[in-house]
Amino acid sequence: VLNGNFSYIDSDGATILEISGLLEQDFDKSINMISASYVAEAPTSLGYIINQKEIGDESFALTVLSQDKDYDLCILSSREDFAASIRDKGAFYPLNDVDGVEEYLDACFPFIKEAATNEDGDIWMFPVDVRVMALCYDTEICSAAGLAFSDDMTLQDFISNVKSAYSDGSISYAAQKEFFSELLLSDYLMEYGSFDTPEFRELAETIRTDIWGNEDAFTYSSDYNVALMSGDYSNVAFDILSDAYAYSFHDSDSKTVISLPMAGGKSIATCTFICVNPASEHLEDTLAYISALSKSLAGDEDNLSLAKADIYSTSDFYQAVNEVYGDAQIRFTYSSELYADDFNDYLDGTVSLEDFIAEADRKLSAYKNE
Amino acid sequence: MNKRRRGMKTDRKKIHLTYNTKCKLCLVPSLAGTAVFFVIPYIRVLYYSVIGSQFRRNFVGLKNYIETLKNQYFQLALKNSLLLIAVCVPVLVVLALVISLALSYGIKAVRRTRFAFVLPMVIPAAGVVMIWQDVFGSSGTVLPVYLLFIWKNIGICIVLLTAAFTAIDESVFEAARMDGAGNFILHTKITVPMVAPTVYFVSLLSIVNTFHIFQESYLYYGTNYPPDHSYTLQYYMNNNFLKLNYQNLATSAVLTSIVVFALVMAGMALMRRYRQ
Repeated sequence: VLNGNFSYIDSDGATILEISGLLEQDFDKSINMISASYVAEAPTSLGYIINQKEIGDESFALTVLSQDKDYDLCILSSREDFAASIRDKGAFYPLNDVDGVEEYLDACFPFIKEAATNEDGDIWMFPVDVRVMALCYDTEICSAAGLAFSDDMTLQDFISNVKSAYSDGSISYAAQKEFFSELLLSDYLMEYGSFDTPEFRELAETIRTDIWGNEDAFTYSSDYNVALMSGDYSNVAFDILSDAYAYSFHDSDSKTVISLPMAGGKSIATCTFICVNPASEHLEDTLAYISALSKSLAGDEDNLSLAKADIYSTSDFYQAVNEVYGDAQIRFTYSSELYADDFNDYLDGTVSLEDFIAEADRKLSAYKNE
Repeated sequence: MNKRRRGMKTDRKKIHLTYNTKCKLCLVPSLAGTAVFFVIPYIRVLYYSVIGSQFRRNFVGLKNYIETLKNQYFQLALKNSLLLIAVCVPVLVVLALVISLALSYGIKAVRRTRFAFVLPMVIPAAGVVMIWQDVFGSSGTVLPVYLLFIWKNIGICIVLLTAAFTAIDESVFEAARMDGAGNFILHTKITVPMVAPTVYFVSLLSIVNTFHIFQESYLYYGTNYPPDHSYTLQYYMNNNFLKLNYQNLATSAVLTSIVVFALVMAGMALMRRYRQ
């Protein structure tokens, strides 16, 4: 910060971002940010002092409902229960008039702006990180091994590829069963909103028989662990990725990215966002921070949320990432408490599928209607 | 003479007023506490129950009440809570009465086990629930929660009722015996009327305690969505709280307080009729 001008300069000395008119003391301002649970994707502080506190579900609800003046921002993930509640109950300060926010959202993929805007047209949250889960695979390794991944791949195609990779024995890959099952379940629930469907019965049977029934295949291969530790993923045949950091390790001519076979037909994007407390004591500073953050993110060439980010033109790999991001969607999920334990009982064989469906639908009905 | 009398009256009045003022002053801390912790929050809850949202504060009249009363899960929760009161409170009070009588009459077997009745009051809820889970497993009925409630609350009921029994002056019984009263008459005409206020108090306390069984029930089922038979008002309120639905929470809290108030009034009317 020099004479009130904030500059973001790269290693070659070129200015990436410039914000003028800031006072020196702006960068001593502290902002209190709360979260219900651990959030890894905290936004950059841009010189502000961000006091982040993880306070648990009950305290979070109490703090938000009591309109506690002591917190300025709350940070949440679209996978948390509270996300949709904050929007639906109006527990936010609208960001429409904050300098740079609307411009930033316009520059992002349309599904991000859509998720950040409520029915009344209020910008209720500011997305700080959007991660789209996708399958990254090496075309050369996979074709040599006879693994056929394609854009119109079905779940069964994916499963048979994983089984083939496992039986080959020499292929490095990652397809963790817990993670993949949870992804399939939450995606299914968001799409259908009930477990009592033929589609769910088919999916549950597939997860139980084909994924958990082949649990040695649905894990990290031993070679993959070597790549994980060395950071050299050139020999990895396929992997499920979500964040920019992970994508950066796989950027090569032989690799590409496609959507995972999801029930909704679109890739799931997990959004980490911040909401401003309407009763905040430091509202002005907080909005100034959001404004600076939006300008900073808008100027970040590696920001995968931007529809026309510079990084997308650097390689075919990132062009493929761009296509996957462009076809993604943010959905606010139901709590996994409604089905996770019961589904594990079903996988263990403790309860039958019909009993699981009855119990999970009962809880889901209570959750939606109480 | 008249002047002196008048002077004495004024002095008495002064003393009287000073005494009254002192009494009122003594009440101030208690009234202030009640106002700060009960009356003012209750008024705020009433206010929140007639606005559309905690954050927009538009007046909606009785809309929230109508929606809550129509909500099938509120109805289920209310039904289960009232059932818990209707089934468990009479069983608890009668059981506590019998054990207190046995303790008062010095029945050895009961006296030797009295420690066991007070034990639930000092054992942490989490420990109790673990034992309960081992004993009942997934029984599929509401019985574990009902038994847990009775077991957890019987200690305090026994303590209060035993104190009431032992407070009856022995001379009253002696006088009745001299007048030719038998054991049945002694209990129906002396013991029962004299402990009736305590029984009433114990019943009220137990009704209030039915609303405190949430902690044990939650630990027992390990979820915010227990089986329908155990879904009580506390679950409904807690879940709405976690969904930031303060209006539903406030409305159901007001409706619950009305139910409790009605039960207390009914109990008082019964007591009045019994005394007459």
